[in-house]
Amino acid sequence: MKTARIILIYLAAALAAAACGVLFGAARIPLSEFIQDGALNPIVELRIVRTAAAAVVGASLAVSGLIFQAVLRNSLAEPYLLGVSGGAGLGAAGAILLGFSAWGFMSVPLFALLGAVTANLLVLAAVRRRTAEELLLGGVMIGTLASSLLMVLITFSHSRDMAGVVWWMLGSVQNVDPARQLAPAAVLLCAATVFLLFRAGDVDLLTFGPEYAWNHGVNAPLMTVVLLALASLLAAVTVSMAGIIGFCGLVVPHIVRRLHGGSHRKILIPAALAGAVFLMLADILGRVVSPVRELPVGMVTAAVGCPVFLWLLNRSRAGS
Amino acid sequence: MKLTAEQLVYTHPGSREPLMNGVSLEIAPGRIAALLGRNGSGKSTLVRLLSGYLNPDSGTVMLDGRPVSEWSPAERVRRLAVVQQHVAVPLTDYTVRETVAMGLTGVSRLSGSLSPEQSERLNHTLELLDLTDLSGRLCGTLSGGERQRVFTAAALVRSPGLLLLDEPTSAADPAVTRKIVSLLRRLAPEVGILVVTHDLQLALDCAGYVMLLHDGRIAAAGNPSDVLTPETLLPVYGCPFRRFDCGGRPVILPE
Amino acid sequence: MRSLFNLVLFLALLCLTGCSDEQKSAPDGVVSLSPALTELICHLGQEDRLIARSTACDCPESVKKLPVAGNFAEPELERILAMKPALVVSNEFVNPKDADALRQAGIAVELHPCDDFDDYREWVALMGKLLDCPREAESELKRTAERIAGFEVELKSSEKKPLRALYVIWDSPLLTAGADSLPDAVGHLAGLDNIVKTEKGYPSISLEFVLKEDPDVIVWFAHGKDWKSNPSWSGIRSIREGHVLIPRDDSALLRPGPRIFDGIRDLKSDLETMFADKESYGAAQP
Repeated sequence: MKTARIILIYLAAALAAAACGVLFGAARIPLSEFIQDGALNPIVELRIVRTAAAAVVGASLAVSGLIFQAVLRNSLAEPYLLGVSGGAGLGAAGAILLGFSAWGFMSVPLFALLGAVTANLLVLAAVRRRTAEELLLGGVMIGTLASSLLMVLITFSHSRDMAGVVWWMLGSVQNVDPARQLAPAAVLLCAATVFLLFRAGDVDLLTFGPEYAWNHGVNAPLMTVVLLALASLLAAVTVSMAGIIGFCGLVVPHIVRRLHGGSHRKILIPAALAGAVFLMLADILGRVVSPVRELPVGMVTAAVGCPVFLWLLNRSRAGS
Repeated sequence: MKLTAEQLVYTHPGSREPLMNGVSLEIAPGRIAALLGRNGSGKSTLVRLLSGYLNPDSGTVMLDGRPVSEWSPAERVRRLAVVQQHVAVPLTDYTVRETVAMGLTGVSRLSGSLSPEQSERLNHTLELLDLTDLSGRLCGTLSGGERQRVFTAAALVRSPGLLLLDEPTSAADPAVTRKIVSLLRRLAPEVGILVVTHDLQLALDCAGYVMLLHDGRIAAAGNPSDVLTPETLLPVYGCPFRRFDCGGRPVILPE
Repeated sequence: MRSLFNLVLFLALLCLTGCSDEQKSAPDGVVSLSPALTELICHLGQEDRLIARSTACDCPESVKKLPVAGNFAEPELERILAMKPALVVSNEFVNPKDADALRQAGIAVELHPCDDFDDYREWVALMGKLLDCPREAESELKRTAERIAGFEVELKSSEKKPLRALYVIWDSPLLTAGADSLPDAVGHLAGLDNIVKTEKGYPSISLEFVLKEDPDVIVWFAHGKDWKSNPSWSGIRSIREGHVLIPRDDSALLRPGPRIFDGIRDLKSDLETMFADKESYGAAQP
């Protein structure tokens, strides 16, 4: 199939999912009440923001996961691998438990972002030989250290703050500031996508290993760090606005790769759109299942993503 | 166009003994050079030092009169192509045609489309290595020898001036080996070629110049018929050899 | 001979009962791992029996001088064993294995939930027995019944429509107090009507539900968090109108302890002040 045609199909799916995201929710609102007294119904406004947030977070995670898997040449690689989740959790918990959250709504996300970026830079700086295996191990180590420090903080904390930290980490696209979080994240996503489209050839070559890439004109050590830092930054920004959402960055790139082949120039935009669709649908599902309760979207992604992926895995094994 | 290495010294990180201890060599168009040595003698490491992927502790590698590390990657690979012995299996498969096309430099970055000229080069290279019929196949479904040809094609597709091949025939059957030898001979007048191998016969058949890597140095170098004698090979491999004459073609075998 | 035997038996029994009497007498070393229970023990006049507290016990001020022996769910076993207390009290969150370890060392352990008024009354009665202060416990039970009855009479006689309220335990994600929770019961006595009716415990709820239910007032228990700066909340009417009530001392309302009735009284009077000039809280029931 032509790349343009594939992208059009994914785009159509994304638009359909976005429409569902605005139309359906906990409350049932007839179309006639979407506009009230000349202004947008606040419930609809809420849905628009959270649907857009789900789209941006899902797309960022899928792109990030795609890059991680390609560069580390590991199908289990996921966006949070290089210290991002542990660092973000530690940053957020630090902000909540040390009382910085009183500074305003943005303090927790900013501390989470700071923690994630710091942990990521620490991994990239601490691992001298940046081979896939050593980066993976370094990421796991720094991540474990951050989680242990988080446990220390939690141990010394008030029980209610602790619940706040745990809930924050579960992930939700409900509390997103459209101007201060969503817009910058969308800009970053677009910039990263354009950069990666231009560098897709390098990513393809890196999947054959750094030496092969070097022998075909890629500055492999530099590109490895640049790509992993960019992918981690995408993940860190999503964590800071929506907490840790598993599965999206792991499963979506796999599915798209299996369906359309390996060339990253061809699958980058489909993967981004598929990630957006996946998370928008997971969010809608989480809203519709219970009218009052808010299901953490990360739970929905795991519940949906796991069986879909296993089915796909077995199907293509049988086919080959 | 030539590649010269002078007094290369290199020690693996974490190792005490230097693997390379003053290796010098030159690769230039007009002849095929072969580098021989025992397993673990550092042949593949030497290729990595020559390609600039590894930096020597001391000594220099000059590509066209300039240190290889100072070239921009794109400019470097236009001059120097390397075919590795082992290539990692990518996470997802590419077709033969896609894989060989990745070897082209100057591919339009955004669309990935090839110019007519590039398409023609691609088809020509696939033809050269007998890959035309396989061009739509996924690399993961190919045999080891076929994959090796694909990576050789990916190196040759941009018409480099210098070519380093690490064990190019280790997985090839005799017919394919013969084909590759004749291909290298045809390229030799314009392309400087270094074949790294432990296959003595391959060196005898195709090389005009042979180097024996032993104990981190070039232990012997020169004409194949002068270097590949039982006397020089005994100390390197530690086993006796015997040389035969097979209708004018020299053959060397371990006893 | 028989009478002598009876006499010996009698003396032996007396001795035995005497011994058991001595064992039954109020224990001197008490460790409380629950802030509400710590307050209750002090309220019953037994503060001098306390030898250690939990990290969260901060009331009355004087208990802060006591050493810490763990948090509500995790007793620090070694430290407690070294103190040789007679009794450890806490909520049901304590790992049963930890409790068994303490019991094996001969320490009495009482673990019961303390989540609502009924739990509180049971604890008061139990403490009266355990700490040998039945009179104090009796009067606290009486006071509890009177205060609750007082609030209920006020509710019944009031012609005001109850305010529909959202209790915010945490703001992002939005954690609230469900139908069977202490804030729900406390708010009810203060004249509030929880908008969350179907969910129990402390659920995370969707903002869409809040927008749909449109509460009159938000009681803000998210200690130290700023309610003004969260942009996704701006659509909520009570936020726009500034009807967010931050309790003077939220520990008095979230802890089922002796201060809870004063907490309710404060909450009620703060609500009356907030809605003094508003029709919703002052208007007669239709």
